[in-house]
Amino acid sequence: MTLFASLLLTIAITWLLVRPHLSQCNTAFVPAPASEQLHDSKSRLVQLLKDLELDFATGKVSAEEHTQIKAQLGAELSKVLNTLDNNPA
Amino acid sequence: MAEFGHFSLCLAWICALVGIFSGVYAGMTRRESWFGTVRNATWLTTLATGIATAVLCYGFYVSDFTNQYIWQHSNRDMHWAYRISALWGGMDGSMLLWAFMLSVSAALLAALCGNYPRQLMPWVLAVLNSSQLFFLTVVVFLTNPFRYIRAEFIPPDGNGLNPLLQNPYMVSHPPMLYAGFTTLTVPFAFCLGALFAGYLSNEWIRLTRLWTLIGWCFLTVGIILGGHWAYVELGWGGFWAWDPVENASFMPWLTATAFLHSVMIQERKEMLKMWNVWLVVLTYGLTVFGTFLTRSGVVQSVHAFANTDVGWVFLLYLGIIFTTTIILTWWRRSELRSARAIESLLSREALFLLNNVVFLSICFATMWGVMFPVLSEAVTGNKQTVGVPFFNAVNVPLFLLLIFLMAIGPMIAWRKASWSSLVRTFRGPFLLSLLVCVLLVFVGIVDFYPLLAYGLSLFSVLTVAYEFSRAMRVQRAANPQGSMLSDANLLLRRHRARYGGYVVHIGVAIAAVSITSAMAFKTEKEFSLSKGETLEVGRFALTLNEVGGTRNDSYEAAVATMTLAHRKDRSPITTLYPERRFYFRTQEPTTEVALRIGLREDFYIALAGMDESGERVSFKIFINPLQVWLWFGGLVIVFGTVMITLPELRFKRAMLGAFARQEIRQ
Repeated sequence: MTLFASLLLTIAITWLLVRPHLSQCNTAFVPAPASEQLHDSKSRLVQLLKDLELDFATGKVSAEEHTQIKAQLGAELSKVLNTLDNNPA
Repeated sequence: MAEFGHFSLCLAWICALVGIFSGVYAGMTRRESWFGTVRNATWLTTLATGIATAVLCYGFYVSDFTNQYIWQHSNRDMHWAYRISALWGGMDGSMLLWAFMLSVSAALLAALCGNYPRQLMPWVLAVLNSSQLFFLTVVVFLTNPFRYIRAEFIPPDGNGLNPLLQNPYMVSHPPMLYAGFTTLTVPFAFCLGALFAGYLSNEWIRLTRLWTLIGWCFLTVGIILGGHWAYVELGWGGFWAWDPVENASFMPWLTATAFLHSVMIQERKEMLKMWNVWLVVLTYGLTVFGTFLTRSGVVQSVHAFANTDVGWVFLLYLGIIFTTTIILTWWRRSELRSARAIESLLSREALFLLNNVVFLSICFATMWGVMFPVLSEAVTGNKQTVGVPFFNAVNVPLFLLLIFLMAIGPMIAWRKASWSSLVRTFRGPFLLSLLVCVLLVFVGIVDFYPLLAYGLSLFSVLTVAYEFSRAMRVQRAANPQGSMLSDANLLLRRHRARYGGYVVHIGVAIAAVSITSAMAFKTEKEFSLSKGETLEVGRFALTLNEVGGTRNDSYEAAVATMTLAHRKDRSPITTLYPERRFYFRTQEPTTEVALRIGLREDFYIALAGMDESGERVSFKIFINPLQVWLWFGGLVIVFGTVMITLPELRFKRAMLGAFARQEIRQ
């Protein structure tokens, strides 16, 4: 029984380790879905902007820095949104 | 069955090895087929390690005493839950559990890695598999838990588990710690993977934050459970003794906490890249170092496993980790340069950096205390130990500084704060805290450290309250028609991570007040009573009603029945039953403490012994002020961490769903 189970486990493991080479024909990396990463970046930038606004409203960020960071984050966000518009999938 | 368990472990070892090579090859050649292999190898390592763990659990459940490890750590009298938890009661099983939990983290990451950058993930999985390979090497070749008893006669019953470990906290505390340690391996894998792949944007940091938070939360819960176990089981009235094994889990907790703070600076300001790499590596290194401490026999501890000869393997592995990191960080040094410098010492960046330095100082002081006996023996030939007074003398002032930084750090502006804004922000909380400190002096609390600790803890809670009220005012101004409740809800939902962090800080402040009270105002008394006698202590009166005996198959016990009453009017509060047990198998006495938990204080009593005639019974009592608030503070910390973690988890789930839909479309 132990021998049979060990044999079965070995065969299953060997098969699963070799299988990707049989089914995927050694192609180059499929890039991760770009839109997912872009949505991720969008959410992060929106959250950073929300935090910045709260920090400014509660007096933790000076007006000068608020303008500077907001412009920087805004530029990054518009770049992400443009890319998303061009690659809706 | 045991052969099958060991065979599975060998297969897991091979899979981890395949995972390393296929991961490196996939990272270098960027071939999808090899990436498929490393993912499969990671899952298969989990499967095979899981099978081995299940086999050992089953062996414990059915009391298979042909297995030496099962015979050593369990017996038939034990409850089935303790029989299974005996799996991590010894060195061999605990290493297997570690390997299994690490493989679960690795499998989860392999399942999620479709959402992570493909050029990074083969390297990350390769590093994770190398960590698995190390622990599996230890389990397979050095601490194999599937060894047979090589004798004609198989004992009908086992040795049993130390009675102190037969406790619900011991069922949950070690797995929680291991879950923390193994989850914190994932950020380490991301870190080294990013260094190998040259993928050193801020993304790897952001991707690992969720793992670090979850690992940190497990570690926090594990440490709290361990403290509670020590409190209710060991009978010395405390929860933390700076024992080397306690310190082994505390040191990575400190560096992980430092990382959780400094990661915010990298995300927002692209600073401290090199610092963060080293914090992550140090955290992982300290988990391995902790394992070395508890299993090598270099330090003496009540919790340490038996002296073994596996210590050198851990040291070798630590050497490999740090050498690899030094080489990689040197190679990638130009990409790890900070984009900006700290512009003012009066800024959030500077204070977060100072907070990191304090965390590392506490970690260093703790390590110094732990290693001092070893170092002193190496240098002078005499082993000298440092005790609780050393740790308290060094770490208490540092902790107080941390509480101060915890109060002001999150409220101060990024980049540069002005003195006028500081005065505006902190004037109210500071004056109120000062007022409370003055009141405390009037009620008799005049010692410097307790007064400072109470003042700073209150100050940190008040700054959070003040910050929330300011944010609420802004929210109300933007939405004058909304109700207070809906505004608060909106604010919390929009900035859940930020307020989750503040909740954690409040939990820390509550715990700090409790720890201060326990350290400064604990009452401790040893005394003996005869039947009918009463002792007055504090605001309590304690009467010994009777002493009885009880006996079962495992132990015999002396049980005292005592009435706890108010000292003033002698009105009864509760009846307490402290016990002293003598276990036949281990031939050791243990105490079962009796505890009356209250919001003001815990009344804690342990039966220390009896005289020859059995007439006089000696006891040890502790009155621990505000003790229950330590556990409540721990709950608040966990709640805050869940508050931060949940949105990220939800976001990841949404990403997974979207990815799955895309797969289906393809």
